[in-house]
Amino acid sequence: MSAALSGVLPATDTKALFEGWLGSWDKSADAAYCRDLQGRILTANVAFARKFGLPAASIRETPIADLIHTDDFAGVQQATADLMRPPHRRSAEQRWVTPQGIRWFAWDEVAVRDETGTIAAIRAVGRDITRQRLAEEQYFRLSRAVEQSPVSIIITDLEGHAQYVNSKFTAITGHTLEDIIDRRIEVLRAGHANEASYRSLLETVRAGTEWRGELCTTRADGMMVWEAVKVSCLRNSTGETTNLLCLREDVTERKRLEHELRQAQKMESLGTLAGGIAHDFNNLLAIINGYAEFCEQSLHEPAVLRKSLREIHNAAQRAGSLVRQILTFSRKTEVRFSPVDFNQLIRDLMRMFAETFPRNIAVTLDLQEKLPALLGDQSQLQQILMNLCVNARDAMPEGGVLTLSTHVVAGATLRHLGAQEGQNYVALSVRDTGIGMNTEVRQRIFEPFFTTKAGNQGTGLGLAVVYGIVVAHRGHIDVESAPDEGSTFSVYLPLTESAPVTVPPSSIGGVAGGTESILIVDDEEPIRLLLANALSQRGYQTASASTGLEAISLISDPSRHFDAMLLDLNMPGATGVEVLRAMRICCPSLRVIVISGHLTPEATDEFTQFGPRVFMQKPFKLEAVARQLRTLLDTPAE
Amino acid sequence: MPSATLAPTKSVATPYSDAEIRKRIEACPKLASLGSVNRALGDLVRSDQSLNSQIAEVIRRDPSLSARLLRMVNSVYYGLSTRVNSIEEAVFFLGLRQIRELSMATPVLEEADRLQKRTAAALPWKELWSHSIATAILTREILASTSFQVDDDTDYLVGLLHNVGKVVMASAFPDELRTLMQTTAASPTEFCERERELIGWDHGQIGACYLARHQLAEEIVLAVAHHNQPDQSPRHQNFAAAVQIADHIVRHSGISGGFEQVTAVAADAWLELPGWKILYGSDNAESMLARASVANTLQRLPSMLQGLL
Repeated sequence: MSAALSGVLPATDTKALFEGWLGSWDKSADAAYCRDLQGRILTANVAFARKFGLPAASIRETPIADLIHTDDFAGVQQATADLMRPPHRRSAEQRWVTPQGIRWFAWDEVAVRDETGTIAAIRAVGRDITRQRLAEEQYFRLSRAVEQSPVSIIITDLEGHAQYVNSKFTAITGHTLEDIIDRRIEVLRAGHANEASYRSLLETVRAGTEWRGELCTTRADGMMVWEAVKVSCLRNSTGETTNLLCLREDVTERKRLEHELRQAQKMESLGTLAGGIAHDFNNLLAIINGYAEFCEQSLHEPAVLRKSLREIHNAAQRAGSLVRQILTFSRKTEVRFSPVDFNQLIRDLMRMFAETFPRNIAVTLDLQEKLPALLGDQSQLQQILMNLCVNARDAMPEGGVLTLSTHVVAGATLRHLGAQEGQNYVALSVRDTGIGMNTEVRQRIFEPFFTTKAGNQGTGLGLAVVYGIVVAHRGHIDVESAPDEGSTFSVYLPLTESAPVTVPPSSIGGVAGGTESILIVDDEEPIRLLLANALSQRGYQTASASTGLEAISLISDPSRHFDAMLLDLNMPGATGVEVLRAMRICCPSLRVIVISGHLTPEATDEFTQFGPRVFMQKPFKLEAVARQLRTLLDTPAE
Repeated sequence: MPSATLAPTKSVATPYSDAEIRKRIEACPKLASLGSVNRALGDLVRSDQSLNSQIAEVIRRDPSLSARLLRMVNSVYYGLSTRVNSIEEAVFFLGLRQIRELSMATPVLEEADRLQKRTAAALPWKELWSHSIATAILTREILASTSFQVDDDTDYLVGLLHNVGKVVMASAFPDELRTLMQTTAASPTEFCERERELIGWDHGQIGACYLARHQLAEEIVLAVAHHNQPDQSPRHQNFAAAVQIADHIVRHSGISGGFEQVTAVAADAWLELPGWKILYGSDNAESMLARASVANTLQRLPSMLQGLL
């Protein structure tokens, strides 16, 4: 009790006075008490007393230091000082020690004046807020987890408008929430190649399923990054979808390593074929050399000459196709999904296997005709075939039969592999009659670096890479095998709904000729003559140029007219590119077939800027050139 | 410059079409803030010990920051629940990091002025800010003196944001703003007419358009639009009326907007304003009480403003 007050009034009166200070709070459901400036309780209401399990009368004179949590007591002293200054009002949250344990209270405190107008006490009215306080702490803990997550997190409304982005997102993209709102950035669209892809995301997620994908986006510093993206919906307590949640994780490094691994493994499997290839190549060279000698000796026997030349031609064709196969396979390519005719892929590779596999292995094909196209990366699918076939070969050291088959299966029959029910799959089976595997081996074959091959014959990456590619194509793989009964690997790849790959019309029958005027540009005379002869035979008018400069002067001569030009890329002096540049100025309507020994992607890019062109790879078949030329001339002008 | 010499220029100038004005407001970049306020905010958000209430206190000193904060929180919560009209709630909802980013991405007026060579002399931003804060404080006091209950920051925000249109004009109509600053007018209402003659819209309409575009509450938008003609506001006339009275009292106490030359307001001139009639009617007793309360606030105003900027 304040000394000043007790001197003035008898005890009963002071009690009434203090209760007066409590005012109408006396009967309140909220806890209320008055304390003097030294922090002793003067009076308290029933709600307060009940909270602390004490009769209201016995609370008087209790120092609040006994009731308040020690950590919060310093704040109380500060509060008393604050209340001496206007506006004499303050709120505070403190922990109090009650019989139920430590509870949080929120207090509104005001200074109370005695009849002389000096501040004599403090009245505090408050309530137990422990539950809110715990909820808040839980809220802050969860929000910090989202905030500091190492993964970019975005929360949007159902239309895809951002409502929250965490700091990782801002660090990667450089966009703050304010930027996104200001510039109306559609955060979920980033990385989607087209509208259809974005719409399919929204539809998938709104239907309640999770969307996953890998998207390529540009970072704030301009670097391209690959991100694994997951979008799902957030539901409220009644199960309604209220928001979309998007998680994006940078997987650029993983992607790069995967790519390198695939390339390395490809080289490795090519290496195992190299021995066979060298052997084969030498055979072909021997044939060519032999028949060439024959020709020299039989200059006056046309029948022998013709036969020898045909043999040379055949051998050169085979060598050419072999080189093309190896180049196609070893080329380091960007991953590009496009419709692929799987049967064609198998037939192409079989040609190489026929040249390089031991003769005691017979290869048979059982391909379903009119197989629908599937969406995939051609070079990776080749790698699947290559690895499975090389494994089959190695499983048959004594020889045997390698069977490749394709057919379409419904997803419903592949449920044990986790296939989607409504989806059709192309099944590729590679069956050998080799040594087979026991269960232990079969369980581990897809592990990287697991190999049964001795010494330095394999790295154990082949099937791991196959597995990786199959998964990247959203496909499935299955294997059946038993010791001495051979193995069957089955790969299932989802079919797209697109039409079957259009096969170019076959070369059965002669190719139509024409009477148009054709300019042939090539620095090698034999090729020039060859083309000129072949085309004149089909009725075309031909003219030729041996350098780029000559070609430019011919096409820019207004007295000459050409319908089409066959253009070699690599020439001394003015190159093919320069001819094209000049052509665009003086006769842009001239149709062009570009012919080159080695077409790099850079060169192709350089050309396409001059408009779409027809490309042909050297060595070419005269018939193929004639057919391309006819097609080109028959294409209506743009 | 006397207004007479400017008269011909005004009649020659054709005001912009509504579409053009909207387009310019849309193109208006992030509103700039006073360097001192932004520095104070920056210091606060760098410390993890700061309370939301302290941060809100600093943001309340800045019309630009307040407008940007509210437009962010209302864009985010737009259509989902109620509008957020309290700075402290906005700080809570958006979280400390967003406030930190807000402060880092804030263009500073003083620097913008230095860069903008076209403006011969620096614009008197500090006066505009003092005027806004003083009007905000007074608007809150005036509304508190009526029976009208406000439990968020709307009462304060309408006062703080009533001149946000002038900040927008500085970037959307810089040439017109310069001409206007040399124009004189007998009253704020008359000055609005000058603005409409030159641009087509007055600063209230421009500010309201800017705020409406960013989903701020209708009460705020209407009060800003009609703070010089509260009787023309279709709804929520209380807010516009309180802002009008506060604006006049602040002018009377010598804190003019800084962006215009309007004849100083005489004592008690606000008793004749439409706003006064809307709030206190013709009931003499209530009007007397209000006058007393205004006189009281007027005395405290300078000390309340001290140290804010």
